Amino acid sequence: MERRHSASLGPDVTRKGAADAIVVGSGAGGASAALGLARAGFRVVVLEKGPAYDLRDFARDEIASCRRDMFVPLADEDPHVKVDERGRPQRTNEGWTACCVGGGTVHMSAFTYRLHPEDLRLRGILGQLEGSTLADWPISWDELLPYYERMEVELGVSGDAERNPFEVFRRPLPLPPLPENGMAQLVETACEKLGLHAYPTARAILSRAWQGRARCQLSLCCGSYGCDVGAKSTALSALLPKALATGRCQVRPLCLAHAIEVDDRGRATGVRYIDARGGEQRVQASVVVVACSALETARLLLLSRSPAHPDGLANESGLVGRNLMFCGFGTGMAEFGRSDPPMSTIDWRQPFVNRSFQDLYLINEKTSSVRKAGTVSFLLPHSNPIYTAERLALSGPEPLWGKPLKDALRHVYREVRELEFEVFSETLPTADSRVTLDPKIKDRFGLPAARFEVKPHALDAEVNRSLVDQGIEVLRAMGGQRVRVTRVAQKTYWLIAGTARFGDDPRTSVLDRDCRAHSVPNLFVTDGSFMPTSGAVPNTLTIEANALRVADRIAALGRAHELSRAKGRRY
Amino acid sequence: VKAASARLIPSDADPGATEADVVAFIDAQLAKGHIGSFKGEIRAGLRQMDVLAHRAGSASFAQAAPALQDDVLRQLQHGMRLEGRWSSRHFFLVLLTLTLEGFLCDPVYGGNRDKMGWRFIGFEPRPPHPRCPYRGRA
Repeated sequence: MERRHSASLGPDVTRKGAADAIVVGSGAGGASAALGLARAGFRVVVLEKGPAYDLRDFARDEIASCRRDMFVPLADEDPHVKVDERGRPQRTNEGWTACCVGGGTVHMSAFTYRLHPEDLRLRGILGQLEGSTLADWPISWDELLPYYERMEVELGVSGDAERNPFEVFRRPLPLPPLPENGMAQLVETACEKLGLHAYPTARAILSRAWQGRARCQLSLCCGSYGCDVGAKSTALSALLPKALATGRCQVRPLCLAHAIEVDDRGRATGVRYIDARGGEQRVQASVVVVACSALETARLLLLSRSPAHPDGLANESGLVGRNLMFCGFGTGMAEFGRSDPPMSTIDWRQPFVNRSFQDLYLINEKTSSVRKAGTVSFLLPHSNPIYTAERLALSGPEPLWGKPLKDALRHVYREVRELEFEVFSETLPTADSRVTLDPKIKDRFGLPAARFEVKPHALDAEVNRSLVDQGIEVLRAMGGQRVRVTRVAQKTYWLIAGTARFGDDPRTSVLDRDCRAHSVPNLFVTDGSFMPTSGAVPNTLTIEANALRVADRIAALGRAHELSRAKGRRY
Repeated sequence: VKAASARLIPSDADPGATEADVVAFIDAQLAKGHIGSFKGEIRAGLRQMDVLAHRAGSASFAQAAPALQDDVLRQLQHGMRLEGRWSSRHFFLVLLTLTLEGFLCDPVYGGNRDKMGWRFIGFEPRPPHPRCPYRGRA
C-alpha cells in the first residue's frame, strides 16, 4: 500500500469536528448519496474502509486485479462467516463486494438493468407465498423513474432503449450501444427462432466520450479489473469526482466505521471509526447515511449497541439482518468450431456480445408455478487466461493435469470459440436468511465479523433452472457443441439486498419510505439493504438511483426541519 | 516444485511449465504476504512427495522417473494427511493453481517467460496503458 492510497480526497469539510452529513461506504449507494447531498449544499464526509486506488493502479494485470486481495479482502484478515448447508460456520471472503474507494462498482462488469414496475409490487401480484416474507415496496416505480433517468445520465449508460421490449423507458439512453462481437447477431437470430426477444444489454461503459471521460478502448480487461482509462462508469470514475468538485465532499480512505453514536433523544450524532494508522477517531454530523453493502450495513447497525439500543441501532423490529438476499445465479456454455463460418469471419478483438432477454421475467398465468424468474445474458468467457485454465483444470470431480490439461487448453484456444450465458434469477426473501454478529470470529481490529446464513425458498432453485434451460436452448439453436450447464441454482454473493427493508409499518420494516430508520430520525441507509425484493437483475443501477432519491429526500426533510424531530412509534 | 510443475503442465511439442519458468513465479510469490502463508503447507507437501518417491525406490521426487512422479502426484491428489494439519489434496490444488498462474501470468511476475504460456494459447493482451506503471504489484 502506498501513501497515496490512504490520503484523503478533497478538503477537510468539517468545522470543529462536525460535518453536515457522514456517508459510510463509497460504492454504488454511498457515492450516489454523497453526490446528491454535496450538490444540495451539505458538507459531506465519506468514510471508506478500503484504499483509494486511481487509474494508475488498474494495470491490465491478471494476478493483482483478479486473483489477489486488491479488491476483496482475504478471509484470514477480514472474514465473513458463512454458515454452510450443514450448519457449520466457515470463514469466507464471499459476501464482500469490494473494499476500496468506489466499492464493488470498480471491478463490476457494469450490466445495467432497471427493475420492472411489477418488481415493486410482487407480493400483490404473486400473493402470499408460503415460506417467504415477500413484501411490496412502499414507493411506486414512478417515484423511482426520474432517478433511473438521472443516474443513467450521470453514468453515461450505453444501450438501445427502443430495442428493449421488457423494461419501461420514456426516453433514449444517453449513449448508443457499444460495438459488438459478431456472436451478438447469432444469439439474436437463435432467440428469434425460439420466440425469445434478445436486445442489446445496457452497460455503464462509455461507447462515446462523455462528461470529460474517454470512451471504452476495448481492452478486454473489464469485469474483475479496474478500468485503466476510466471508461467504465464506476462510483470512482463517474460519481465521486463530481461530488469532490463541489468542494463540499471529503473521502477518507482506510477508515473503518464501527459504531454510530446516538444521543439520549435517540438521534444519531456521529460515527466512530478506526483510521489508516489504527487510531480511534470520531466525526460528528446531523445526518448519517450508511451504505457499506447489505451485509456490512447490518453488521454496523448491530455493532452500534448501547444501553438504549441493546439489540443494535434501528433494530426495534428485530429485522436488522433478516431477509438477506443474494441474486440467483447460473451459467451455461457452448463451443463452436473455430474455422467454421461464421466463426472464422468474426472479429474476436471485439469483447462485447451484450445480448439479454427477459421473456421469463414475469409470467401472468396463475397456473404456472414459475411466475417470476429473471434475466438471461450472453457474453464471451472471461478474458483472463488463468481463469480459463483454472476452469478446465478444476471444474470436474477430479482435477485435470498433465497432458489432458494441455490438450484441453489446445482445444479451447486453437480449435473452438466459446460462448457463455449468465442468468440472474429471483431470490425470494425469507426471514431466516440473515446476518448476525459472529460470536467468536473477529476481523483484524478485533470486531465481531458478519456471519450470514442463507435459507433459500424452494422456488429459487426451480426458477433458476427454468432460466438456465432457456439459455441452453438458445445455445443449441445456435448449433453449439458441448452445450452444457456450468452452474445452476447458485447465488451470486456479490449482488446483495435485504437486511434493512423499507416499508410503512415499523413493525415489519427497518426503514421508512425515505430509507430513514423508523426509530432514528436522521439515520438513512442507501445500499441494497432497503430492498424488500431484489429484482432478478444486477441491482447496482437501482441502488444508485434510489440513493439519489434519498439524497433529495434528506435535503427536503432538512429544509422542513424534520431531521431532528423524534418520529414514528416506540414500542 | 520445479519437477512437480513440469508434470502438471508437461513439455511436449509445445512449451510447458519448465520452459515458462513457472518455478520463478512460485518462488517470488512464496516470498510475499498472502501466498507466503502457504509456505508451511507447501514444505510439508514437498517432504511427503520425497517420502512417497523414496518408498517406491527413488532417491527423491526430483530424481524419480516421470511415470513415478505422476503416480506420487496422483496419490497426493486423492488425499492423505500431511505432517501438520494439512491435507495433501489441498496442497495439490494449491500447487496446481500456482502452476497455472505461473504459466499464464503477466511476465513481470517472473513466470510465463518470454510469453511462452501466452504464445502457446495465442493470447495477445492489449498493451498496457502508458499511464499504468504498476503492473506486478501482487
